[in-house]
Amino acid sequence: MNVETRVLWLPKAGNTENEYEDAFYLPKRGRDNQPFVCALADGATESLLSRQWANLLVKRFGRQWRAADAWPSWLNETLRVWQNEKRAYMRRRARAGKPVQWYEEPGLEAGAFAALLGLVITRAARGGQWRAAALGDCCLAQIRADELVDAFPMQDASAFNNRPFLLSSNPARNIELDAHWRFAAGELARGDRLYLMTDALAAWFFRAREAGARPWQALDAHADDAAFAAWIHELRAARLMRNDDVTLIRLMI
Amino acid sequence: MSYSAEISRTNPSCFIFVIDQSGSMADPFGGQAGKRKADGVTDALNRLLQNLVIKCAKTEGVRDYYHIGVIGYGANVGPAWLGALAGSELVPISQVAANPARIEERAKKVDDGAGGLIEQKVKFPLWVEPVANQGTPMVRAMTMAADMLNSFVAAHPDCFPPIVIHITDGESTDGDPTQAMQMVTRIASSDGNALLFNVHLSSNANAPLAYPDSAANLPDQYAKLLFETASELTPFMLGIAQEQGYDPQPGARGFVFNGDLALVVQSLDIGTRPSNLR
Repeated sequence: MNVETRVLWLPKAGNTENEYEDAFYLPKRGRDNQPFVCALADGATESLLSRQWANLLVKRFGRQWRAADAWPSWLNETLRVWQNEKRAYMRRRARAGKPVQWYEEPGLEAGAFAALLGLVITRAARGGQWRAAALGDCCLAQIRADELVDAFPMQDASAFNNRPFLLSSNPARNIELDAHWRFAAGELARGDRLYLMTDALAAWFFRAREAGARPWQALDAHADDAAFAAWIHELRAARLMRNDDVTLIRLMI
Repeated sequence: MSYSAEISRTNPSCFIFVIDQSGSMADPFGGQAGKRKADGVTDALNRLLQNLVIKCAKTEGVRDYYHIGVIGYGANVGPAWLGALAGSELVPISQVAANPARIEERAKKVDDGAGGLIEQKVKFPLWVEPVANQGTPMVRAMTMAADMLNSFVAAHPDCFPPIVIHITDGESTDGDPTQAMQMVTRIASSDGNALLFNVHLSSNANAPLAYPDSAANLPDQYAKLLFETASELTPFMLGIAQEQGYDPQPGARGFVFNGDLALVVQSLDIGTRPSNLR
């Protein structure tokens, strides 16, 4: 199944690109006979090493995700890799003469946190099928013929009011995970568009939709880096969008 | 809408702690023999500074979301920082992080995972030491806080309004502090007026009272003055007070009377919980 991809992202205003804590994974080349897999993650501002954790999650989803019911083994292996990455990070800090400071210790002990949304697209008898897994408030919207046909895991703007349950690098913080994973699937037709969005953009998307607009048209209209950045700045300045890292993965089927 | 400005490195906010260091702070907390008020307040303040630093810490360092001042008043009026920060007025929080006067190791009891408790050593940085000496020059202390806030707001006109937390156990010895306190709460950024919390560790035997909306049940003129000059809690702070099990009514003020140490710590938490840290 041929999937055309586009990623647009922007750090929160006031932050540098190095401080951007969302992460995304897209395959280097789509191959016709293979499922198409992509992922989006949003590292929590309050936690330490969020960017690294978000990056690991999307990479491991992209390359190692098998099936929804196999998430425990996927997560265990991800946590094992994380322990190695964290140890390597500590060694780098020590070698650079920048040992961990007292104010970093509680955050490193508590663990890193991130929301994750992963998507797998496969060819089906007619068109294709998508399957998605989500933990937290990254969102997927499916558009067909200028209509919203599906959204996952959030369906409306009010769902963004609560603090979401996030995936933690600290296993002790992942108990109850079973109750928080969301899985969904849907049919795809040629010409469909899928938008994967981190929370600030997704919340704007649903608010605009609820006000009667077709927010995907605005997403399509600002499809290059410069136009996207200028448009997001405008939304933030008008307080129509929370100042946060923003990432959009747009897929054309 | 007031009290909604984003707190960021380009638009930081500010906390000033004004701490009574007069001689009577050597007295014990009511009903808690053995712990001097000065010790309890200093512990609470050091812990709070530690928590604020941790909240602003990222892997690349501590982000300057806040500037912090600590004014002590007793024998003298001035910055109460010790060590490298001694004499500094408002200090960016990354500098607070980098410069504790010293770091103690303290024992903390933690769950051993098998139903018992084990002692664990934790780091406890100290910026301020307990002092209890001479009079209570509250007017001068509040005037100094107002001067510091004026400079801060001039440099950050759109900041989330600064918060002043004042902890005292006694009457002012350099005159009526009402005007000086009003000077503090009249200072405003485009996002609202500065907020003043008064925590009154009275020697009066009355029961503790937190976040009242009227001075009717306060026993003396002095408690009334500290109530009248304290700011109304913002809706966000009302929410936290409710979370902590209080039932503040609309119009409730940032005033705590005769609190024990736990109540002082809670009120510091209400005053300083980041509401919209970015």
